[in-house]
Amino acid sequence: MTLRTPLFAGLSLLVGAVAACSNPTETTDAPEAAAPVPTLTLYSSRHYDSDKALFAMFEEQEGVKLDVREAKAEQLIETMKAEGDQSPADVIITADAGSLWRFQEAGLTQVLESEALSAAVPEKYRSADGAWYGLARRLRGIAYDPSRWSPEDLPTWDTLAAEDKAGEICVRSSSNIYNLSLMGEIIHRYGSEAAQAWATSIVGNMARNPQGGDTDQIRAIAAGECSLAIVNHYYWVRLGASSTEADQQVAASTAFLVPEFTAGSGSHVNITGAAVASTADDPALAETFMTFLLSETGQTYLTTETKELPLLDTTALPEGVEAVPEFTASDVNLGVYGENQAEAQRLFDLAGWN
Amino acid sequence: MPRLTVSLRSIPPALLIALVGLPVLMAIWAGVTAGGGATWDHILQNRLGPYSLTTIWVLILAGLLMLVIAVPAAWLVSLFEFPGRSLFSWALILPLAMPGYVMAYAWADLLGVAGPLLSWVREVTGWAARDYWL
Repeated sequence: MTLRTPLFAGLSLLVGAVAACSNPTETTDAPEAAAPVPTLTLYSSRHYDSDKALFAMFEEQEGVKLDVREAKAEQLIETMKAEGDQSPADVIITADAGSLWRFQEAGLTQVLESEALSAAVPEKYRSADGAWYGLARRLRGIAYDPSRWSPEDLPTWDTLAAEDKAGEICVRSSSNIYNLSLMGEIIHRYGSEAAQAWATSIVGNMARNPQGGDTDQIRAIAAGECSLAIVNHYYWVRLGASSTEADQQVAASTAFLVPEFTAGSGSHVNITGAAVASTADDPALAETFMTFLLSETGQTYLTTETKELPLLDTTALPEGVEAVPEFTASDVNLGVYGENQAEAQRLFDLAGWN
Repeated sequence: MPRLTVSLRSIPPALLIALVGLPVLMAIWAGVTAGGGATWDHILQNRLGPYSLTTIWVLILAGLLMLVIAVPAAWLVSLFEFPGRSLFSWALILPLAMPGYVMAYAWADLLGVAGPLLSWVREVTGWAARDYWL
């Protein structure tokens, strides 16, 4: 008997709270209604304090309120799908062109034709139809044990698949978007058959079953479980910039190189990018925001903490990134990563890359 | 014979259960209605077999571990009196309160090649990761 009352009370509280949430108009008869501040709702898969500082600057500069909602890209996609026409999303920021493509493919983006953005972002780092634009660059390369290998041993991705690398490779699972996008470019360049053969050889050279994230692969090199790992450059740079001594040691006992596909082909580059959400009601404001992210200030703040490479050549490299060797970027348009994504996963599966 | 009646007081908990369960039901519904296509065919042909085998393997392994660890532990705390019995009788249930994936990540971190345990082993012995089997 005594249990019943609190339960009823709790439930009516809950119902009351739900009712209050779904009834926001009640507050409009406040004494003085403030002038409406335009709000830009941002769905971001990034979680960095430097982003917050940057967004605060934009709010100040433009007199706009930024409503930032952070979650993983997959969660943001499902959220937006569920919200449908009612989604508050105006701008989407996410890492990897393959991930941007997923938003586009799900009909969650809208085309933005922008002279300012098109001038700032090289053609290969934006979708052909203006559905998304790059904001920062990231490299997928090879971390290695310098006591075992030198960059001359690994000029191309093919050399990683060679027999002398048997039992030496650590890499994360194939369903990871970074791997899918790398495979997407390999498929684009050499076709499915060659791509599957490459993946099969990599699987044959693995030191262990795919597990963990990129940082875990670099740590595994330092621990001696493998001597080569396929990772994004900034994970390695961040270990070196870490305040933990153990992490610094991991970075110091490893090195990083940026292979090409074939000699002179250029190297695999990916991006963090932004798109205007299909539900955005003020695309011009969204464009202003994206243009701000491509300003010198925007570029600096976007990359200082993440250790990505700025998209603009004029912006200084973040501290620590100078340890990444010089590279020539591939000329392939990043739209192919998404186009080949399903095929990439299929070939990885057939190759036995878990 | 017990009578099956719906009493008023069962409505609030039923509503609460429905509220908590709704997202799960929605996810199942979305999965059932949005299937099909080339990806699904690929999963059926190439992945469903290995996935199912892994699931069965995990079931067998978990069952065996339960028989070896959980059943004797439950038997001991239920049928025997020993110092610390009352502590164990509730402490052994605590892992059930933890989400499985949280525990899995914690174990993976603890026992991984770069985790504290094996790092310590390497430090003490001077071995590299491939000099020992673990």
